[in-house]
Amino acid sequence: MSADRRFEPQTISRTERWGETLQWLIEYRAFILLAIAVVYAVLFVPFFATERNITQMTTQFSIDGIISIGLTILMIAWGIDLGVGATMALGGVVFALAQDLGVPIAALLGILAGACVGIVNGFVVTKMRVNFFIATLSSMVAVQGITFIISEEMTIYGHAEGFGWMGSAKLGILEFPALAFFGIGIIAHLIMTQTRIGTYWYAIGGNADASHRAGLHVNLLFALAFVVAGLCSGVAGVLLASRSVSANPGVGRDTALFAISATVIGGTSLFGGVGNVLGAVAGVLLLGVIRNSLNLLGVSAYWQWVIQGIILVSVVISDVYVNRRRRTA
Amino acid sequence: MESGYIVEMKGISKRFGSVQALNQVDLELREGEILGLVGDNAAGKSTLMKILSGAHSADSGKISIAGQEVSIRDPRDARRCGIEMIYQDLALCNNLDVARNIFLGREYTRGVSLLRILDKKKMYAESAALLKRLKINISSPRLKVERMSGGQRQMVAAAKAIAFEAKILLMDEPTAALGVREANTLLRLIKDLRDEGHSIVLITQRVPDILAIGDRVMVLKGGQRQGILDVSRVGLDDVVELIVRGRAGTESEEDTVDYLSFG
Repeated sequence: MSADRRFEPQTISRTERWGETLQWLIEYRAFILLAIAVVYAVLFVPFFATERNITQMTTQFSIDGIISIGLTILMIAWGIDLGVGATMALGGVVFALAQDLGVPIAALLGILAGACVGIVNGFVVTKMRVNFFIATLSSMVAVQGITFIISEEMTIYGHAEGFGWMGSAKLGILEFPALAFFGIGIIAHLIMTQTRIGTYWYAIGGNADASHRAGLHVNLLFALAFVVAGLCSGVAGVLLASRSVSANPGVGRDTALFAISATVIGGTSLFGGVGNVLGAVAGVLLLGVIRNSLNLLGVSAYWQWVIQGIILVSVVISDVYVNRRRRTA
Repeated sequence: MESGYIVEMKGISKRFGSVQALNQVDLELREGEILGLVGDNAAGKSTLMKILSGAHSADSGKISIAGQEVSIRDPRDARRCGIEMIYQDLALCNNLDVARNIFLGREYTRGVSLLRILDKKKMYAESAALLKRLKINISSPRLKVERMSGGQRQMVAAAKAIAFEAKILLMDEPTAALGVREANTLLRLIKDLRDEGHSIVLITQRVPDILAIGDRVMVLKGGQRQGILDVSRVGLDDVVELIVRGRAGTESEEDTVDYLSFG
């Protein structure tokens, strides 16, 4: 074999080409399904395409969507945080409790409270070697308890000037939470695709041992991914409290399910190393459009849960299929 | 380099639980040579090299590089000493493309301070040039490793170790998963690297490979060094004898060996 011949492009069989196409369709499923859902909703769901509905819809799902972005990064690094809803509630309550210090400082404290939960999760998982499901499930219970204790089991109302600004400020048809969601999504996408740390999160999710042998600080990177998830949950908590001009310690019970669903629909694998932030953004938009359309069509909340559960199971099955193909390749 | 060796390991011991993987092992690697490291399964070959590459730390012993005693606590320390290792399991991230694997942990960036971003163009260009220089049959450095054959992955692992011109290359069974043609290509590459001045430790079960391209061969058995032989003065039988019976010939007479299993 001559040296030149070795560089001839390898031919791809029809089966391989079909396999690649199928994998591409599964990887970008959220964008395809989103396009279909939007077209359907515009044509067949009354009031869907009105300015008021779009504003409300984007604000509603963007708060959980910010959490999805943090979870996407964590899941790419092959982790998960089941307590994101509890962390969101803590962030909101800390924000409301600290409002007399001034809204900007209070917001910062609320976000930092989320980051602190992430630091604890990261420490317990990487240093104490506790499985991340157990660690985050345990911290969720503890954080819920702390949130109820510091709020004295009561909803804390916003009275400081500017408390509700972040939840209601508007640019065009989008309110601040939606703008924050898209902004954080773009920043996270750039971090994951254009920076070293993004590559490292993909690397440790793909093969932590190989990453260690390549000289990466695997534990630190993994812990940082938990901090990012906590930060995003804190931001979501502050925005939710600002939007409702109150902080309820009991919010966020369904948040993890929505955020994980959106992330997995967006192409992020439960098995680590695979995913993308823009896919998660599309997954959030898709679930938001479906939920909003069902509301407008008068479908009961219980049926909405059933539908969301079916969607999640479907995407998890497709993720298992893709992962099996990937590992046997 | 007072001793004349680029690598000297003295009295290296390592225990995993109740198993003494290495017991007071010495290793000397000359500059610009291929040293074969052979032995039966669980002889301690990989453990010894993982200690040199920083993947494991030794319980006791000293390591010197070019006459200077060094402390290798992790793979970053090893890299700083100019040591790279090709692991038996390849240690690749299958979800990343070829270029990202090659540059993992040593990416090129551009920009300033916290806003530094990956210089992908440079990394892809250099990866493509490296693949071409090493005559590796991969159509693009943008190809994900998970889409490649075992032989191609092996060559990517080799390219990753060679990319940064490490002086000392440690290779753990690099031909084990390869077909005859791919193995020959890799052996030729290893020989070329030696001729370019790299110092190489080659762990293998295929003794004829060492006899074909190596300069010296060191035999480990039960975590102890049995001897070090000059390839030009020994044959397959001598090496296999040392692998099976050890330096003192302590194995019982019932121990027999199918020589073909080593070749």
